[in-house]
Amino acid sequence: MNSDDRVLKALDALKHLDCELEAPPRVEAVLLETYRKRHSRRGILHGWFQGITIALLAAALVMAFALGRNSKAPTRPTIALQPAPATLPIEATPVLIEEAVIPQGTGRGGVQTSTRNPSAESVVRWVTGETKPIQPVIPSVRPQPREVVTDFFPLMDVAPPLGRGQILRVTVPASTMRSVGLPVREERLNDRVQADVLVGEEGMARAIRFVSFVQDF
Amino acid sequence: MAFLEQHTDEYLLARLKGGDETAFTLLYRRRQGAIYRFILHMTGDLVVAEDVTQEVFLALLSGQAKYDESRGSLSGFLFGVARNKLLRRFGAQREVPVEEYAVDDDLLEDLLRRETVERVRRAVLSLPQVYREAVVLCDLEESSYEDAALALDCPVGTVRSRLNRGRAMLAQKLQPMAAVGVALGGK
Repeated sequence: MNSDDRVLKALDALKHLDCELEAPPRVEAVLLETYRKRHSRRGILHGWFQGITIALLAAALVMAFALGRNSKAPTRPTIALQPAPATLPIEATPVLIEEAVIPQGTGRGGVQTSTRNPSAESVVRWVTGETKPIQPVIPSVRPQPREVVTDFFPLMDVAPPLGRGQILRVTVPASTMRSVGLPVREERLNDRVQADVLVGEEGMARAIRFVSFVQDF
Repeated sequence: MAFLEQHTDEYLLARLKGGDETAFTLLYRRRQGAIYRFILHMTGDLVVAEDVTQEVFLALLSGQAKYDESRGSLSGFLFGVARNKLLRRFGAQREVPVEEYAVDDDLLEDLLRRETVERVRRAVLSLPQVYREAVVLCDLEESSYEDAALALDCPVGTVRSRLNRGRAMLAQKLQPMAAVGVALGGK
């Protein structure tokens, strides 16, 4: 056996004697505790971040959905309005809301014209600036906004009796409200408001009412 | 756990960074023994071996020690972290204290063998640091030359030359032991 062999043999003996040596279990315990602390902190931060991200994504999705609903013209009813005596600057394809059966002899053009409805007053107050403007609805788990409408305002001074008709949802400038006698502030004349137009069987716009949305809490 | 045992160190490291405690436990148990023994053979000090082993893995957990897979194995990297911590602690020229290990076996043959092995241990501990590192890593821990080069931050050729030189120095130190070669199994 030469010297190299003896050295390797000696080292091999040392290696075999020590091969079972390991760090005491307390080292693992300390490291594991440290690891858990670090990751529990990170987990909390991660949870916050994830929660905020999910909330933002959900908000973005609902807003995109809401915008899509407002901007996309629904294609369901394609009713061609006949030229009406009172010209309405309708800006969106009207949507058929309901079939209306109008009682004979109520108001001008067979349409009730009462403005004592508190819902109608709330719309007027908003347009005239007497109250805070309606805030954009933030999509969340809140209930859907409640629709508030004014009474119908006649668009024809003299109109044949109305038996059946259709109500179409349209978007018009706020100035339309002024044309039926509702007060509108100057700076709001170009605002867009939704309205329901009552169209008679003959295709003429008989009356209009204005629509707003109120969020119930 | 059995599923993870088949995976590489690098895979376990990625898992433990993601919060997988099982991966951490497996990786630690897989590598702690070699790191502990490396430090022990370098210092001959059980307390230092325990402390530095803990420091090495803490550095890995905290991200203080950043492992780059492209530079070599995690094993070599951990040896390098341990070496750096030893150098920081004691400096390169530290006089290594040589301590005896308790022997709890009464058998004469085993005593003789252990005594002989302890002389080998002391001989290793008395080597200059650069040669000791190479001998401990390559001969006692069976690291590849590449891993040793990563740990020692030097080329593979340097590892080889240091290893040869270290063995030669050990041969000189152990010459009187030739007479007790029987204890080491030599004929």
